[in-house]
Amino acid sequence: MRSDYIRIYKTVHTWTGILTGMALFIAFYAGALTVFKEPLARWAAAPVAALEVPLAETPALIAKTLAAHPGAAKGFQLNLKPTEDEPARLSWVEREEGQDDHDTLSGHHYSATLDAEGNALVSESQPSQLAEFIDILHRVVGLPFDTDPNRWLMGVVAALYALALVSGVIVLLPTLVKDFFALRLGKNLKRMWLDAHNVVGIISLPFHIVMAITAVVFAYHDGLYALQDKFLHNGRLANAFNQQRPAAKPAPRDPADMLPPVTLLERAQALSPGFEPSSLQYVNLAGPRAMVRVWGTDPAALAPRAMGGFVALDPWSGKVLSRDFLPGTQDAANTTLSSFFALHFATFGGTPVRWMYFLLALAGAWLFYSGNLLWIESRRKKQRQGEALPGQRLDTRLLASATVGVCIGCIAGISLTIAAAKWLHGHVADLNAWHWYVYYGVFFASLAWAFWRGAGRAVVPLLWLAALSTCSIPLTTLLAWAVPGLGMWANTSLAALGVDATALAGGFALMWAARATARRVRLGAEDSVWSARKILPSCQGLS
Amino acid sequence: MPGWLLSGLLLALAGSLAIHFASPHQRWRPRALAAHPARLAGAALLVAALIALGQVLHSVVAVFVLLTWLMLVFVLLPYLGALIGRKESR
Repeated sequence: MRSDYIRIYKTVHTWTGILTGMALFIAFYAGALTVFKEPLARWAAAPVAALEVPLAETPALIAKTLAAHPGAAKGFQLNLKPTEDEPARLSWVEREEGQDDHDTLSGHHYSATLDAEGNALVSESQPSQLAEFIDILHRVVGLPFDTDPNRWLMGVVAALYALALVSGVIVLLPTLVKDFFALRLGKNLKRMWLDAHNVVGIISLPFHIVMAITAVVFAYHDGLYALQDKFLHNGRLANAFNQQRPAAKPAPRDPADMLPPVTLLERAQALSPGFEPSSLQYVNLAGPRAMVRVWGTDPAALAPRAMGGFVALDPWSGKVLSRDFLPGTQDAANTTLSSFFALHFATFGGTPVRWMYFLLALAGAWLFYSGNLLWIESRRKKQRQGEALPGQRLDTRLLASATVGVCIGCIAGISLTIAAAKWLHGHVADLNAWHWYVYYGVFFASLAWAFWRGAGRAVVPLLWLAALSTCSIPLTTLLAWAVPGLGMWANTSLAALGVDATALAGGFALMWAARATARRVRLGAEDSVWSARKILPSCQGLS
Repeated sequence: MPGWLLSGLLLALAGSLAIHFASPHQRWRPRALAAHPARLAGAALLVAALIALGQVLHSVVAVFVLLTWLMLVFVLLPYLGALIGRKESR
């Protein structure tokens, strides 16, 4: 390929990378944690005394709950394996009229159980939204709310990310085979950062292509459906979905006559022997198209959604309404479509694949961080022998400060907001709002600190802050266990303890990074934005 | 973890190591393995890994798991090799 073409692609790769790298760092770091969203939610859930209702008694629980709280007929969930974050057998969320479908934070959460006399006990709860908050950071590249404009912005970032991937591969093509697996450490720092960046970028390219494509589709799916409706269905897409609606409104059916959950589960498992149900989602019980979705997973198959897959049944007759989303029995077309979701959400291969995704997502975050380091190193003004120390360019100093402030601030902010789930519980009126305050407080303070001090002098304290913040997660659990009087808790399920163990390992990794960076800041080249040895007017931060 | 799944992942790891050790850029060993035999053995191990994974997973899932695992292992090997190489050179 002609070298002038390569130069053009290099420029495209550089600028798309610089424009989106830090947003993508947040998306990938938060995304790595979101792979373990359920364990995080279980770690953060305060213990509640829930009366256990055997599965055999759930028909009575459903009937009595609906009699006492008819609003639940719109949709409720029956949990087959109650956990710390979903302790009640039956729960539901009531949303405001006209509320955005993507708004997963608003709404009133209720749960129901049976008391000793067999009466329904309905209570409203305020479950922790910590895991959802981190997922939102992932979904909208660090912005606070999953709204249409924020998703569209994420879509632009994802499209630029795709462009960066394509242009990066083209730039690398001439040396792809020769330099495959090359990670050359040495005095040539530019070569080192280039190798460190390329190893991750080229080897995990398929992972990144899937993420870029699916992210663009997720960002604009509402618009895509609208275009499809206008041009393919002449505005009758909704009608197409309603063809099953009966001509005459059927008489309301009595929820007490529904098939017991045990029978529904047997019907579902008969369709797919490998299917392992986890919950039953009852929808529109008072409407003409009532159904129950039996959600679950099949360890051998891929799941079409983040929470698994489902078979839709008629709750009264047990008739199969749809098995398009049932893992293990999907036809080729549905499997192809589901593959995109599964490849984004890591809903295949079980826990081992979730760990692989966790590490690949962290490697992805490193890809964007190292891309910025490479850009800065490539523009370093080197000191010539016998000449005075040159001042570094303003743009490299600004990008260095922004990179450490945003990326390390994001890590510290997320870690501290996780720990805050236990420290602030019972001490603040709206703990979920405080997750926002803590994260953005730490994030913007880190950013301000990085610009004020300059990258070279801010990076080590920021890394120590991130390390200690991350270690504070397991230390909080340890303290809660050792000093029960503090009012905190230590959930001891494997999932919750896994969060503590992972955070501990992450904290130690950050400490190692802090020490290595401190060495470089102290002993590395002075003609660098990363040197803190000499404070030249042009090498300082913006103070 | 089911035995076949674990076997598949270990076979793939062995295959990846064989392929990586044949690279002139590997830092794990003093000298790279002979390229052709090592790559051939690596490829055979990856095929065996896919067969093992296919015993407990649907074929499309087996392919996805293998590719995901290969990406992770091939990303980590140069970094771990660099760490090992740096320690040895001290």
